[in-house]
Amino acid sequence: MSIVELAVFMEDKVGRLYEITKLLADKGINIRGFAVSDSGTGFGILRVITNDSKNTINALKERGFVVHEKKVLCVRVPDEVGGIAKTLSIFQSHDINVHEMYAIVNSLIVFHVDNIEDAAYLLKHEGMEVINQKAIEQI
Amino acid sequence: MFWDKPLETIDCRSLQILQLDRINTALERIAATPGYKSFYDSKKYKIKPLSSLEQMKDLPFTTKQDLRNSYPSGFLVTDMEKVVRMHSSSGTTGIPTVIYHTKNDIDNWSSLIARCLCMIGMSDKDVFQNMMTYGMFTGGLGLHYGAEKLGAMVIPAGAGNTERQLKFIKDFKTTVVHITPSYALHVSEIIEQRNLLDGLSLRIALMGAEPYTEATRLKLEERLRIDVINSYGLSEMNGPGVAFECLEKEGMHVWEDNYYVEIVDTKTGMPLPDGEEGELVLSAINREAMPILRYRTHDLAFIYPERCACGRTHRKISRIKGRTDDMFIIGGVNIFPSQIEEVLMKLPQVGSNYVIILSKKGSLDKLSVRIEVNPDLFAGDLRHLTQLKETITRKLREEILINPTIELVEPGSLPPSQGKAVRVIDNRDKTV
Repeated sequence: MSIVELAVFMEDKVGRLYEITKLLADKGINIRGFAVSDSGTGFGILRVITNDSKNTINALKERGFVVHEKKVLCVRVPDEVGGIAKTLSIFQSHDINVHEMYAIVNSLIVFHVDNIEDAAYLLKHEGMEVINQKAIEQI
Repeated sequence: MFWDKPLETIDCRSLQILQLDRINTALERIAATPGYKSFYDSKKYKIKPLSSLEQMKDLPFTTKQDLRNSYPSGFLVTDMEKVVRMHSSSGTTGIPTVIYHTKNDIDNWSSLIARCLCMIGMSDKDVFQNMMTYGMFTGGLGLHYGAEKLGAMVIPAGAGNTERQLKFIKDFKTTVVHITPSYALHVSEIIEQRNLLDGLSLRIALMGAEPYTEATRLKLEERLRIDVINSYGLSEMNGPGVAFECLEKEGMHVWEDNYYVEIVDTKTGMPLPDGEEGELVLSAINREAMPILRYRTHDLAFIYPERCACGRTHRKISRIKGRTDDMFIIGGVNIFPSQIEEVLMKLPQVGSNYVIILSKKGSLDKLSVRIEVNPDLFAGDLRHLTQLKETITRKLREEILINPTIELVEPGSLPPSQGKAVRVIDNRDKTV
């Protein structure tokens, strides 16, 4: 159970983030969440979760952007004290390494882990809500 | 001061007789070497003794590609047992060019350099710090042997490690250095900043391996209170010692008893009269192991038509005005864009478009390569991109011996390549 994340290679220059978000807005695509990582050497990566991943890819590629599609784990984390720690403790106790994580809309958190299906099973087993692609498109 | 006054002041007629004799000896030995003779056969040139230097213009040119085709030893005209040294061009991917030397060749080359050094007032009292790269680069061993022959004390410091260089200059009372102009600017800045000049004995800097302007010379002379002397050479013609300035500092004397010098029209290949600018064509006419006749240097220069006030009769060439091909020189290293292209195109993650940018960081040359990422192989994380950058940097350093800065950019952000597009942008003048 996973959702689609799109990673966009981006040069570190003025207006680049605006350009991408404006492009998606013009296509009627809703950005559900994002994260930016900067390499510190002139380029970075923008990760986006949208309500329409197929059209997002098409729109970005049409404009010449370098895009990579990746399956990621998405979990609803209770908006309360210790909510995130509780989720991470499940990963930690099962020796699952988290490469990246970022929050998106509606108290959802995106995780990069090696084995998404195993991690999703464990989380569900602990009573957590794991989100699928259909759900992310229909929020 | 003269190292060999009779030869350095030889009259024109005697020089021509000597040149003709040496050219004919070289031709005879080439004709006796099947691998070398076949080169002239392929150019449909029948080797026979020349009756006058006028006939030199009928001899086919030799190019770098011809030398590569002869790899590894097709143009060697002596037995391998007589060879005591080889020098090779840099580069690991393409076929290198190799030049062989017998003991006499090394001895002769050293004498030519001793002549150069004597000409600018160096003697056995001098302490000579050679701040050029040793190894295959001829600026290291070439000057080293020449200065030893002169009797100077040689410090084979090699390039780089500025702190150690400064310590040697100070502790051993170095009087003469051999250095690239860009490195000299860097070192001189440090000397100025730390106010070290008064404790030093420096009086001369020999500079070659890369082009520099008269303004740079004046700046260095003023900053260090020294004479800066221009030097020209290329490994195909031994290396340094081909042409060297005297203290008049206007043009570099070519040792015409060893090198037959021509300036030719870049389009027609016809020799031009003295004073006219064109491509420098040189012949190593006094080399036992590997004579090379009419070598196209791709360097642009002119020959001074008038006699030099220093008394030497050997004609002078101007500073190198530019190149007829796309080679560029950075930090003293000759680089062809094709070397960089070859490395990049072997990496699938690299797109088809790239640009080489030359600039200055302080006084040092900097080489950047801006590369478009291949969209099909983007893995979506920084780790892969950082690794790609490191791989490109390492592979390029292995090939061109210079540490490049790699910039990864989005596809389409560089001007599209149109056939032989301009891949090199030289901003060094602008950033000085």
